[in-house]
Amino acid sequence: MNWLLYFLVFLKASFFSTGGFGNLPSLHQDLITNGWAVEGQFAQALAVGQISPGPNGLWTVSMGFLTLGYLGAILALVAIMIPPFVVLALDAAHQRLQGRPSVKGLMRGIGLAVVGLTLVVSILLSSSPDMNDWKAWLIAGGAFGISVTGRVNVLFVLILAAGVGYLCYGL
Amino acid sequence: MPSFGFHFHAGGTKVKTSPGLTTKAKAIKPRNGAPDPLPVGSVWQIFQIWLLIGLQSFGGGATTALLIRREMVNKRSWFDQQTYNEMWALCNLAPGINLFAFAIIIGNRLAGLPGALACLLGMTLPSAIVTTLITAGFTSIQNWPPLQAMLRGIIPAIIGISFVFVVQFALPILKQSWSEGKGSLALNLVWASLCALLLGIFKLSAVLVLIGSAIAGALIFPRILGHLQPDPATERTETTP
Repeated sequence: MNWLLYFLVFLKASFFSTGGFGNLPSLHQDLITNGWAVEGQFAQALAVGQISPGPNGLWTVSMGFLTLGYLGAILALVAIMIPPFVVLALDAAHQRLQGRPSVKGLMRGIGLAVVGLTLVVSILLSSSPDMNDWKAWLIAGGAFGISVTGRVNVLFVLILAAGVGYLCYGL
Repeated sequence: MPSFGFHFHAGGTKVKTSPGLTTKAKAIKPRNGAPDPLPVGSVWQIFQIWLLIGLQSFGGGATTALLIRREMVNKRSWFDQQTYNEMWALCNLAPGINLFAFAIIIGNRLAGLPGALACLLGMTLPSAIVTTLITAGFTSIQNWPPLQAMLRGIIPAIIGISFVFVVQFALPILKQSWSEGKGSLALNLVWASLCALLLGIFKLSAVLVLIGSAIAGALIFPRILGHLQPDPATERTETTP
């Protein structure tokens, strides 16, 4: 594996995205195409990102570890730390361009693309081999229903899901 | 609850900005947006504060943002509420993780680039190390049957939650476009679906779809939504976690 290319894939994904999961579609596409990751690793990294402290965007570091060990984790971390520095330029530009219609239109365009892309990734994740029986779909639906209210801590939902998983598949 | 760009937190603080403040950039704040003189000890002190924020930030981005507000606004008064909201709005426009951008912009206003690095590294390093160790632990006990059973519960839950992300990205935009009229709502729905189709069916690169949509948005939306003119800073105060 080419480390530089690997790093650039992570950097690109983060540069052209916003939010902690915005890089998911791009990473998903590149890592799978290059054969550096398999579908299941994404679900796993996202799970770790939810459980661990800090921004959920750190799922990328977990993805780095799963695909290239400690080196991968470090490369992924560096890659996601660089793009947010653009905010300093935005801070400067903000004073002048504030409220321009084209800037608002641009942000709307990005926002809508993010909606479409996240939807596609969620559908792709649903085709993972773990979703092979009705119990899995029930858990997914339940987790969606509980989480969409925004009132329940995500960690609690995951612990609950782990318990249900143990009861359904572990006994 | 995770925190995203474009995600308007329910129950977020709503700050009413007087119209005068939003039209004149100068009136908003002095450059560093903090009371003078800035009561900041040193870059090392900033690093320590942010290290503590990083260590306490279990439960995702919303928790972290709350901790930052408590430390920077309530406890130390380094920034006032309005400046905090303004900075958060800008972070929604920055690429990558919004909280990283938030640490950078705050650190930079406190102590320049070294300050930005101090905040970013302080907040991120503990969490990144824990994340790596959890992943490593995961990998080494992956084949333990009880864990596998639990994972068969967790992974579908994550997939369910990923659809919550979609809703959280979509809702604020759809609400906004609803307020712009039915035509706008339809246009926005078709627009998002088109992006999904381009990626999902036509297998276009995600970055290409994003950039294309951004450019098209800058060209098309101002023409049809010209009459909507709330200032972005005012509009976005609601995104504050």
